[in-house]
Amino acid sequence: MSNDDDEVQQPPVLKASVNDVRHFASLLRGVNFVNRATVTIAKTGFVVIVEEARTLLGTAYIFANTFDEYTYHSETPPAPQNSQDSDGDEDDNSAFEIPLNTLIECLNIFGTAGSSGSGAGAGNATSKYKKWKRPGEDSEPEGDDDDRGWRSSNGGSGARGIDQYFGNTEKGTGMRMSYAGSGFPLTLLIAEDAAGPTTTCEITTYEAEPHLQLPFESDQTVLKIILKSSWLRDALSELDPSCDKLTIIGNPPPPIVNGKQRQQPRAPPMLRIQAAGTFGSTEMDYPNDRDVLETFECTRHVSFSYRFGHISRTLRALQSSAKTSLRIDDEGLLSLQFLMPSPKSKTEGGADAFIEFRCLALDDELV
Amino acid sequence: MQATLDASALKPFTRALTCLSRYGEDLAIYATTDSFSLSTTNSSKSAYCRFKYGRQFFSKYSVGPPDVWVNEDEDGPTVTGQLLTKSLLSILRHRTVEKSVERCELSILDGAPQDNDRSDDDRDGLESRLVVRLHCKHGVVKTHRLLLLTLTAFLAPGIPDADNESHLTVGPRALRDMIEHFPVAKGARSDPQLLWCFGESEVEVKSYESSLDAKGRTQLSTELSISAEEFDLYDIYATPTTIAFHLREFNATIAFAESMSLALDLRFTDPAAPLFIDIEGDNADTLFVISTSQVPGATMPSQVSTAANTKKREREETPRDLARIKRPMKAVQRTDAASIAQADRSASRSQSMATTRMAGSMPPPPIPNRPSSHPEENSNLQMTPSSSRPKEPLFLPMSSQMSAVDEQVLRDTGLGLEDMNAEELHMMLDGEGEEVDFTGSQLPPPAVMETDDPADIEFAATQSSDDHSKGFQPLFED
Repeated sequence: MSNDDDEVQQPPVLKASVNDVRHFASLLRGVNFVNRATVTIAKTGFVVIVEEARTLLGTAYIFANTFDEYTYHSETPPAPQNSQDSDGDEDDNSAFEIPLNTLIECLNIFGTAGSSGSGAGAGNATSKYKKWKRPGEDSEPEGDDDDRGWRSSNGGSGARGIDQYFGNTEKGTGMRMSYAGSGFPLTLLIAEDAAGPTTTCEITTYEAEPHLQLPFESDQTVLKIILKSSWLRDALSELDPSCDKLTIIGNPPPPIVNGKQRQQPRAPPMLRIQAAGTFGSTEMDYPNDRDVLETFECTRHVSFSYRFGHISRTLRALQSSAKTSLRIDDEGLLSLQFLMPSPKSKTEGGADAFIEFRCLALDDELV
Repeated sequence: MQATLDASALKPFTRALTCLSRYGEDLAIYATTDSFSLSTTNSSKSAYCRFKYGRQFFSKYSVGPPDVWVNEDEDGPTVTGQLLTKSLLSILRHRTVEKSVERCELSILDGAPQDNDRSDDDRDGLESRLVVRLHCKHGVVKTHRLLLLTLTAFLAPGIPDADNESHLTVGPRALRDMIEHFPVAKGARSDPQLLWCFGESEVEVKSYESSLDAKGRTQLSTELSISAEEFDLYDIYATPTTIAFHLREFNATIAFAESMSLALDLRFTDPAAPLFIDIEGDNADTLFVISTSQVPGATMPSQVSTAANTKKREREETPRDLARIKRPMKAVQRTDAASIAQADRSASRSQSMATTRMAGSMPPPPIPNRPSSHPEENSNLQMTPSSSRPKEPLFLPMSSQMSAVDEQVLRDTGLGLEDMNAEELHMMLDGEGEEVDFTGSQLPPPAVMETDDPADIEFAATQSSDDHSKGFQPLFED
């Protein structure tokens, strides 16, 4: 179905386009640990939520400015469609469920959505993939596209600017996504190049079901750390995959004496990540060094354990993120927020996206 | 035991571990007050690899309880242990280690509680642990505790025979250039063999055809001739010598030598005695032992006898009078050498079986001191050949074994040549047939010719069955 032409009476709920899908794809990939994802669309962007084992909740916040064009028409007031989503009408948003894997595969149909872990800013990780031949390198990639919105919102200059920033002539795969409303499929139009082939994908959507809610009470926070994602990424990737349990231990910083923090040689480390596996155990201690832990707030000794299998789900998002905020509340609920730098933010001021993971602590540690 | 590696030492150490991991799965640690050894043996016990680091390699090194300094004259405590190479390697090879680690502390904590003031949780339970503590930049400390098993079968190589050894020295790059013409098929089971024929001035390398896989996929047969000048040192005891060995471990060795830019020192004796490779670096002494197999023949089923034929033909192709006259001498010599080695092996084996208590004090390559009296004893002892029998390959064709008749012939010579194997006997008799002048050499008495029908011998295989014996055996089997 082609919503673009038939939308006389009702504009589609979502219309979004981007001229380079890599960032969008990497955001989706960050939460792609369970196939069925709930997508909630609102005016400011949309949210992709996945959950696993009623314990782990992964949320990707993809803001409207991730896209070159993003329009949302609430489906509630003008023409209620077949059925309303349960949580659709309260916040003026609509939700559906979608097989996330399929969506990512569709985005990568030309092999250009990039599977690199280093984010969209890391140049072209897919160059080895054979590209469609381009007759003229200068032709605007969207030149022949029949969509006016695309062209108007994303002039050649904008695209060029990014390309110049990346320092390569390669143009990303463009995408146009639309969702007509509940019951309709998510339609993707993907074009690698104006002269190249175009792919239209329709991904069946499902009615959203209520998902796990893990509210994080920020006033109950007992440990709050902001650190470079690379530290956490290295720590997690160095752990033996056979590890079963991962424990995060936080200790309050040593008291300040004479205006200078005295690190006693035997003082317990500020942050310790430890895990035990079949071949042994591993501990990683991090001192309160500004180069390591940008922020460290800890009120009391904290020790909570999590299933390593769940924590390692975050690795994919960690790899393309820049900074991590790690918070633990007094019940052990872990909140990991990853700042996903947008390639646009440097040139156009586009806001960075976020991926958040929340994970419940293992019960035996709660007592 | 405690050893501290700084960042510059960590890299070669990791490379060594990488090489070890390609030899075998289990890593044996053997630490004395003076050196720290890591060794491994592959699953079929046909290859052995050992890295021995002097204490200078480490920025800090001590064995035994940290506080107690052991007198130098004492034997000193030794620490042994065994763990999976992979588990240690995966820690040290991690890509972040190279970037950020400033110092690496290895310590072995005995299961028995000891007065270790490092931290309380370092000693828990009764298991020994290898603690790898990585001190990274910005004061980040990563501590990995690996379970350390007690050393089971301690394997050590035999020693090469000194007298008929061939020496080669070659840079890793030159060797790599030779080897890379022989593609190693991907897949775990693929382990091609190469056949090296060391001639007077040329080295011929060719793919060993029997290394065809079951499906016969490896149809490519490559042959390469290299001038001996490619080798920095080329000293072959007897040309041509042909040996064949597997590539897998050899490649690992080359890769290590290449990464360290160190030359390889190859030593070998008999076509079937193991190949020894030494790589000497700063504060590190590396030994590789790869067992070689007998020279292959062109046709498969009667591999051994044809192999012998090949050998013979090669000899005929180098008709140098000197060599020909010398040959019988050599044969005798070689017999002796072989029996020495044999006796040596059996001796060291029985020794090791008898005295397992040596486990604690014997150094990793416990060079079995060669009993000097053995050759003499050996010639009188009828038992010796049979004692070495169990080491023989199971599937040798019967023809390769010396028949009882042949043995009787040898005994009748009264020359103490009982240990002479079929090949040498054949060669000796063969030489006789060619009417080589034996005067001055240990001429077999006419009795040989009389008691024995040369035609009978003609078809005896010329293969020395003992040549297949492994170069090293478990010293301690518990």
